[in-house]
Amino acid sequence: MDPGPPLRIHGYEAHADLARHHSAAEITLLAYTGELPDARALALFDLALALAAPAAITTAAGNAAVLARLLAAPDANVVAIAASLAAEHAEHVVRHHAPWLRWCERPTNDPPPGFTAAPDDRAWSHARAVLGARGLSLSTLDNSQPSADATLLALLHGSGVREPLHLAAVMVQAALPCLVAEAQRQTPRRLQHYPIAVPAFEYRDEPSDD
Amino acid sequence: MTDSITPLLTHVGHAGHGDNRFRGHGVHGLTGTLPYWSLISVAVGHRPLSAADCAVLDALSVAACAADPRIWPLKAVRLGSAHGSATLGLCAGLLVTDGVHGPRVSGLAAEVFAVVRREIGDEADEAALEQALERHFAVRVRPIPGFGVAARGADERVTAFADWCDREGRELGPYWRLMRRIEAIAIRRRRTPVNISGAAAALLLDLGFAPTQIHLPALFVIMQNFVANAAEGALQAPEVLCELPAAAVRYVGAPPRRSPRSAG
Repeated sequence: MDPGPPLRIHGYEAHADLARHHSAAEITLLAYTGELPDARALALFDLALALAAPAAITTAAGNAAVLARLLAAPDANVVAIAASLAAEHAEHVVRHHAPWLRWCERPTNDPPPGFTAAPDDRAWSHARAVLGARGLSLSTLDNSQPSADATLLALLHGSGVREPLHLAAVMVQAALPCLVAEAQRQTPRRLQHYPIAVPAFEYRDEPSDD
Repeated sequence: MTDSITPLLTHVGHAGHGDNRFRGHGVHGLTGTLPYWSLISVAVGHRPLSAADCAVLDALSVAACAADPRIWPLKAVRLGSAHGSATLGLCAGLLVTDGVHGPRVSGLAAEVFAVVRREIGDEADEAALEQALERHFAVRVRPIPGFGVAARGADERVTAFADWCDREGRELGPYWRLMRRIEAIAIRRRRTPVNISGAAAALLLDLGFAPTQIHLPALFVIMQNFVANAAEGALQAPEVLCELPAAAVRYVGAPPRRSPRSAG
């Protein structure tokens, strides 16, 4: 990014050109890939963002963001905690899916084991339906029934987002609104809304072996 | 709803009426008797340290003072505190040093020292030591964790600590001696003398810490550098760190261009 003036992203003027003619998702893809996306890449990316958006209070990131808000942490810290824990989760997911991502690169054989959806995980099916309605398909989804995380990564890979750092950043970008919104709903200092026994800890008064 | 959650076992603490428990100790009884370094030792599951052990760690921590804000991790602390939050500055320092530069390296170095010493003991010759290093670590292709000093022939922090030990007549333990023997090999092969992370690892092993317990105490060895920069950085909150002048950077990416929609 050229700090300007004028500000430019990969050569395009950020305000006079990109902001007038392109969506936030297109600019995000431009930032990561260096080029403005075509319609197919944009559709895959949009769908990936939608699939990655739900981040409930049950996740570590959601839980911690809520705690930060209840503890009346500054707004910046609520966002920072949500983002950093979401990033930690995203990095874990990306690392765990390294074989899957390698297969996405060359999906000629059967997909690697361990990334198949559980029976109640229908993200792949919804993704296929959405793509089909738009006249699109993605070979990595056509030939497998991957888990929600694997589906998400296949879509991002198809959109051109492939670097582990970029993949993690997109996952955080997608999840952050739900995480912050959930935290925002909490009333600062109303700690009684967070049961002290969730989860329960059992203290043993003995030397640790951990 | 919560009955289905299996309780998590903890040994670290329990809040009670009248007194709190900490790692198997009543806090009331510990108060005033446990030096801070001993508290850190107990916190990671190790034994309480003697006063002499704590003095050694105090000396290492003082020797590890290198708070120059031009040092890259400390620049991150300054950036984190640039809007006035010392806490965020501290967090920035902790996060940027959680990789290949910082206390995590001490844990990795400790694993190397422990594995090598377990395999060859304290009496093996240099050839056996070098072979053990090659067996357990890719010493040919990358630096051993805890070895390597930028732009200097030695890490002055390690030198300051070693000199203090000499002055005080403190005899360091078998891991420190092993670390020095490995350093000789590292210098010969890659010109990488031991740094503060490797030194901290050896010292903490000699104090009985397990390799898995070393990462966080090693963090406390250098924490004062983060604290100093976070405190001053938050007070100054200088505009130049909130946003660098554009003249400070040079753009090397794609040349100016117009999007097709803009042209159309």
